[in-house]
Amino acid sequence: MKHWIIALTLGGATVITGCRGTGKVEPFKPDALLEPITVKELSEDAVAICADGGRLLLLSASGTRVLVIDAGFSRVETLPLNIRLVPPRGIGADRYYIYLYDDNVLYRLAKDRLTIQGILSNVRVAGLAGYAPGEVLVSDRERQLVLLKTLFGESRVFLDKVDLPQPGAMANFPDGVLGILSASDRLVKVNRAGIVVGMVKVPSGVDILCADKLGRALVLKSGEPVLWLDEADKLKGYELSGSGAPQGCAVTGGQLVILDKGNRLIFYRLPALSRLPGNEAERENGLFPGR
Amino acid sequence: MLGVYFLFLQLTTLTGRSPLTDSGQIPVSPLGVRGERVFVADGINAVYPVGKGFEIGKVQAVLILGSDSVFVNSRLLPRSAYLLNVQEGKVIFLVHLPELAIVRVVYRYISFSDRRTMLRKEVLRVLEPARGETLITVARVDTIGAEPSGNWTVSGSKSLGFSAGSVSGVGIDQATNLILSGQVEDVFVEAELSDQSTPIPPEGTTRELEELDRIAIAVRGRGWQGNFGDVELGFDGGMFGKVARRTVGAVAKGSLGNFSVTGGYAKPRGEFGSLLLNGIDGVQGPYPLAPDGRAAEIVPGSEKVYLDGKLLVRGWDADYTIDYSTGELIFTNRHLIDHRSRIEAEFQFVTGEYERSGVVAGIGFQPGPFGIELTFFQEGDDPNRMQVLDLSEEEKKLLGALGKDTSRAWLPGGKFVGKGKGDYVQEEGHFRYVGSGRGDYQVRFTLKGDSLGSYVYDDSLLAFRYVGRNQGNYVDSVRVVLPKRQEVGYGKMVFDLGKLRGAVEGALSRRSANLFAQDGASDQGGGLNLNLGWQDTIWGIEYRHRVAGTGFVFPGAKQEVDFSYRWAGSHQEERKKSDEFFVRVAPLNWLEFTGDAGRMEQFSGRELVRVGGRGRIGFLTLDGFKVDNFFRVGATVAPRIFWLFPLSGFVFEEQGRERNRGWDIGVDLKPGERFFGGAGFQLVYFDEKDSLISRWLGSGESRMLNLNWDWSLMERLNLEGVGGYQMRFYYDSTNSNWRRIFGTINTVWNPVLGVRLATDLSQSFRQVQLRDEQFRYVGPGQGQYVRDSITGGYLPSPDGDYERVVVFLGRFAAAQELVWNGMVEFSRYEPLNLSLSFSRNWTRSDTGLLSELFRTDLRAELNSFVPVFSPTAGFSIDRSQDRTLTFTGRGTAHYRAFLEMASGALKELELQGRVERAERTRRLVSGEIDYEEKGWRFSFSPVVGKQLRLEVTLAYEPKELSEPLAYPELGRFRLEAFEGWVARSSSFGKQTKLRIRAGGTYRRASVAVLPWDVELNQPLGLVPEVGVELEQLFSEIFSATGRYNYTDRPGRAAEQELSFELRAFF
Repeated sequence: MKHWIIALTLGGATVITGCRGTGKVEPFKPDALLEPITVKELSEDAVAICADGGRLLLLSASGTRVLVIDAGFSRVETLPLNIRLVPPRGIGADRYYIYLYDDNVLYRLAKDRLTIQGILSNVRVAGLAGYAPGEVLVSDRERQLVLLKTLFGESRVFLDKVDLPQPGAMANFPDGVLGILSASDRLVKVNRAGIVVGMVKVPSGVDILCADKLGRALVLKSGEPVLWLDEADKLKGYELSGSGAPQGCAVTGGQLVILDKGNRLIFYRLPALSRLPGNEAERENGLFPGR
Repeated sequence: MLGVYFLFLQLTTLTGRSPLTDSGQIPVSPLGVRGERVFVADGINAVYPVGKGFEIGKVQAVLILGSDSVFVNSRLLPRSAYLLNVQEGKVIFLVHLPELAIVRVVYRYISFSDRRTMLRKEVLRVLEPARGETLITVARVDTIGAEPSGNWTVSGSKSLGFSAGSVSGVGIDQATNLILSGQVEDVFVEAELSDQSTPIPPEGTTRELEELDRIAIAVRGRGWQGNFGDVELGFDGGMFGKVARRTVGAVAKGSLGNFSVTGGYAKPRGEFGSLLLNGIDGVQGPYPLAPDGRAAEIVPGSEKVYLDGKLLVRGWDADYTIDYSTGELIFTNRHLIDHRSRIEAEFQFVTGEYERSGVVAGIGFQPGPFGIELTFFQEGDDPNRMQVLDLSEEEKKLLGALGKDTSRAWLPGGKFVGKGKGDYVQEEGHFRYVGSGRGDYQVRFTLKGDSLGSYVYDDSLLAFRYVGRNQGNYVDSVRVVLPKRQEVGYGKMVFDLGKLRGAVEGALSRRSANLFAQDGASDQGGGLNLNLGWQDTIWGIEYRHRVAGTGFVFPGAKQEVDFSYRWAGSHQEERKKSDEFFVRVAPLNWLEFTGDAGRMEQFSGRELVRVGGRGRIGFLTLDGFKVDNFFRVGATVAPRIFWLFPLSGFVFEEQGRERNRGWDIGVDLKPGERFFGGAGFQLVYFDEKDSLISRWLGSGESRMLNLNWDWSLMERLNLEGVGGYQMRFYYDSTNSNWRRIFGTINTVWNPVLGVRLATDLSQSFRQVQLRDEQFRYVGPGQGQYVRDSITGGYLPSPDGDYERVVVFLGRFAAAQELVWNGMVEFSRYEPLNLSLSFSRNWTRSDTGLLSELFRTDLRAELNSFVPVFSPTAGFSIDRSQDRTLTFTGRGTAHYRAFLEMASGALKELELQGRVERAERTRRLVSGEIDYEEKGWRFSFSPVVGKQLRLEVTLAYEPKELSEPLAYPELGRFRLEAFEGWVARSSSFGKQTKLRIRAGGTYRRASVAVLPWDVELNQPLGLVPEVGVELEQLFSEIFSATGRYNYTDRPGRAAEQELSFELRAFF
């Protein structure tokens, strides 16, 4: 066995050494600046973020707790986990469960019972999205599949690599449409039947995806403070002022929340719809639901 | 200037200081811009929009925290009475606003003139329990969701499926998810129904709503509200305690003026239980939360655990962890347990013997400063609805005749099943195992305890063996849990005249221990509480009187935590009467005294007198109390010298013939936000009084050095942990001295952006509960295991005759637990992404390893040549061992290494190839290899055509296998597989999708016949398979799926399966 490991390691190292110094050309450049509204620093590092209704959920870097930030962003509550995720990778949520994953296992934490159970093992999760309450879509980077995990643990293939190659981060859009980053260079939109209904070319290497209420996709590359916003299949770039290294994003209360460097949350106003001017655009963005 | 604003913002945020003056007026301040909003309350809504100034989207503004004031009819409202939601521009009132009340919201905000200026950070901090900040909330996430809108909204999904297969037969499945919210006139409704994958029998079904998986209905009107589904049933019993049950049912509350009414009916998920025990020296757990002290399934989240009177927080990095399936509670290294640790717990444990229900009904009346409440609560089993045993009327009569003597509720475990149909024969008044299918009886045995039974479970026989009366731990009988019921009527009268407050409470209870008995074998009793107190900011005095009759039991958590310690080991159930006086004087900020005196009379006639007090003079604290033969005195000096917090303390405790004297010395350092550290040393001497010479003699001592730290360096390095050294010396030879190092160290290092290293190391000392693993006969095809007639072992089988039962014996073996986790990640280091994670967990006893889990995963991705060429290499090890179970305990090891190449260089051909090497080994507890597999897999799976998207897979998988124990004659043999597949998805418009996958696998081996378990999944010969899936979307709401699968394995009938599913999303 060890001979094979050595052989593979040497083979890999040879390939790696030979590839230094190569560069990559970004097809887009950001053309606007997005200013932060506020910044909140976390005393405990987090590795992933997601929105859960009006709340934000963060998976702590220790892999032992989920931090729940209320709608007013004034209080943090802790959901302690009985086990430790090694290493903690991501988080998602639907009406009944909070989903967590590490390098190999997808877990779900019942919101009302706070019990955690592994629901998918030997999986390298690259993204999560909701299908129906209690049912989750999981993109498996290694098998190149998007699996539908039903409430009682059954796994069905929702999309395979014939449908789209190398599925990555996912997000739910309005009207049952699902967005998936494919091969890190395109955003593919599929409907509930798994039929591709749209595709947008995005800068290479993007791996963070979220969506707003208007069905616009917000795409980022880990560590690069540039937001790419897809609106009606047109991509527009925004520089995220104040962000050093985005690690995740969520949209809640009409705002974009960036988990930056793992230890702070930066809140940005979502860019207005380009087809609507001024106030009207802001209302459409859901910034002021009370009015 | 802007910087000054931000500084003020930061100060007000961090200190929580309000800029309001004592008179409640906003002081004249140059900070920010003043905003004001005036509106009239409608008497119904609690949420009102607030206008400009919050419109951060327009003016780029931020609220100055602490600058807000809300006036209702010119009266300043406390901040706890409302929430200002900055982001949504709303103010949410937590108190009822009278109709037509004039509301004025005043605040200040800052607008940004310089758009590029970054804000100072607002600290959003999680409180750390380790630092004495115990306000962490274990959140029970509200699943009801947000405020319902005025319009009705319905969302959810419904699916109906039909399947037919040549092997699996015919079945119908359905699943429902329904979420409904809206408003009818003044009534808000939110409802959630979920019912998943319920097979529908051919004759149809009618199910009660309560049988659904999940129901939550909330209805709210003016002055009333009702919840249906997962609700908490109970009431606040004031000084008696609190009843709170996690249930499924309905609860309604209403109020009209000064009157209020509450009612509810529900089915509790479990029965209330409580635990009070002392810790064991150097043992962090497990302490089972179970009525029998062995194991019980706990309703998740229902437990409350106190250590030395303090409520603890659950969590791997908090105070304790709990296994809800067994109730085993283990404390983390943050709290070291010794024999003086006082552990109290309240919990709900799952009982499934009978159907159980609970009722609560209450009324209240609050005229002015007075309040009157009356509540009735009943909880009990239905003796006619048994869920485990099926008792005959004769057996019920027999059990009813036992009355209150529930300890004799046993029934014979032996059942005659016919000649040659059982496993046991009866001889000389006991049962003897003669082999599966060779006896006349099937017998159920119950664990009773060491030297209390006549049988033991024989590991070599894999059955029970008679060893003589009171020589074993099992009996050939079945313990019957008798149906029981509790009822309590509770009344309370209170008054609150500001400084003078008082309350009188009375309760009557009835507890029926055996509902099979004619009178229910009931005990009745009553209790009375009286509280009267007066207090202002300096003085306080309180009198408490408690009296209880025999047979009075309150069915919930007791109000007084740490009662046993305060009353020299007495239990609350022993108290017949008590009187207590409390006095408090706090004339100055640095000077405070409290004193108490009390007397308690127990049902046994014993009388206890308690005198105690506590004083704080600056940084000196003194405390002490004496109850009966228990005496405690302590002193602590804890000054603060800039960022140094030294502490020194002394405690002396004496009870009966034992006493201990302890010294604590330590220092905490808090030089800044980024560093916290502390060190402490504790020395305790234990003495015992010699019975002959009546002198105190030393019996032992314990020493403990502990360190804790939390250090963050420039967001790059974080070191956190607790650790120490613990010693216990016994001066006599009856016990062995021990020394231990314990600790938990967590380190995270981010040397540069994109590189992250993290490691955790933890060592703790605990115990492992010994278990018997039994296989119980349950009838043909009813179990999950079959008995191998040759080896005598049990093999998993879906159509088995035996079920596996793990019996916790209540005996424990000392164990050491070591956990080591780590992670190395190089990301964003173009062109290489590298991640390594590993996790290792050992549990060892004195005699060897008990269990082990080791996992490591290394992965490297190279994206330099994307899309021309992108290789990925990975290596993983998964190894686990469980030696605590004799038969199903296994050691498994799985090594895997792979290299994958992908290329998108060619437009019409996406290439992907993969080479994988895998080794898999399975060992028995004895160490012998049970299964071994070593092999390669070469696969090539290109996708052809950008439009065609045809996936072609070709794979070759050679491997060598052996099963030396079960199939020694086969030796090591070779198994080769050749696979070929084609797959394609076609979309017709945006509504129809067809996916076809066809191919086959051909396997050949160097032996003629494969082992049974290998043959099951990897049969020899050609296995063709075809799968067709049609997905049709009729609209955004309806979709249908049809699937057909065909497999033909050699030597078996071809398998065909057809299924349809209709789904609706709304």
